[in-house]
Amino acid sequence: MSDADAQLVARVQQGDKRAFDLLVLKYQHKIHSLISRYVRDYAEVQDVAQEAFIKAFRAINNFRSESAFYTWMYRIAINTAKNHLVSRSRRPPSTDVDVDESDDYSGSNVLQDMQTPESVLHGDEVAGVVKQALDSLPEDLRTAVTLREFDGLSYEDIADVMSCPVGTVRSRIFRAREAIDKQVRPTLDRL
Amino acid sequence: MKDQLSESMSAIMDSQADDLEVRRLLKALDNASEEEANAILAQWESFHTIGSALRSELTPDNGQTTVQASPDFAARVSAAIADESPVNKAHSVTSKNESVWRRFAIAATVTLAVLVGVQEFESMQQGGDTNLTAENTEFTPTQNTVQPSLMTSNDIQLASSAASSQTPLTEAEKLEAAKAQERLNEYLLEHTNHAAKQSGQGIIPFARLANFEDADTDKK
Repeated sequence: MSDADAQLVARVQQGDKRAFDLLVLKYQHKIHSLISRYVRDYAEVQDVAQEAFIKAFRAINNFRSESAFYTWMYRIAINTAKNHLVSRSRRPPSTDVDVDESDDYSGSNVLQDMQTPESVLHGDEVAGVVKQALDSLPEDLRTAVTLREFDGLSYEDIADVMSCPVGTVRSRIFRAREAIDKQVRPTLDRL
Repeated sequence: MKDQLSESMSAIMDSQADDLEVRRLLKALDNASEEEANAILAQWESFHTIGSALRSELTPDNGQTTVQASPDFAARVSAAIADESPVNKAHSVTSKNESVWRRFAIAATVTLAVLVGVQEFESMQQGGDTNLTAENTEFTPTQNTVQPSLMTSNDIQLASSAASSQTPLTEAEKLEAAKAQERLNEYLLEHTNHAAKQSGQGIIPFARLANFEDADTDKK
């Protein structure tokens, strides 16, 4: 087994843009969440996140697997957000965000002020549906996916815990996700 | 979508798949119709969203709302990079290599020029020294021993015409050529004798050759 991100990055470096799509889909929420700690406006968060991913794509050939892809992407996102704040500070400042202290800046107070119908993915609603779907799963599927997602155990460790082959763990986790997906997809499509 | 591909996708997101499965997924994306590709990408996104929800990343513990990606975010990024290509580091490496090779070529050329120059100078010196130090060497000028610097313009003209064209010489030309050769031999003999007395003087005898020429011209 090898690092999926490293495999996808290698494919992108070979010119496969589809592989980059997969990386974007995988990390988009994390990157948005990260940038929203620095940038206040929802639309700006989207723009900065997009710029960060585009920068990452352009520089992907410079990425060496010495660090995890997300660590590299994280730095790009932080720098892009900071540059955005610096460029904004040339205009009359509308906020009091200190770029030098942006690492420690939580942004939570600001985000409370910027909530608009489009600024939230209805995370609560999605989370509610997912947890409801999880509860409805057969115990073996629920245990397998919980150990994976909550506790971050590897398939081998889960196999040890559940006293079953690794292949069975793999299958159970997949079936659990598939079952949850069926229930949550209508909500995701509506949002 | 095939269950096998979906199961591979689930394993890939957990880094529990092998290279072959990643390749199979990407190949499926490449070969799929737009609708099928969107279905694959949607499931990939959904699996990750489910994971985020289960890890409470969509609703942080502090109760604050975090900004999430818009539904079409990935599509917009994909469209934005559609006409882009990653900065080719290999190209810059190549450029660097080219630059290194160019510098190396220049350095080699300069070195070669210096070596040739030094060799030329040394051979000139040795040649001069040979003439100058050949006290015990019997100088036997031959018909083929020609030093252009010792020849008058007429001599050069004759010699070159004789060398370049194989046309037979007239009697007058032959006579003139013989005289010129005789005069040249005298000059060479005189020069060698003189230069031998000045051994160790490097290329000075060559400088004196001009004097011979001038003297010859003056005589004429």
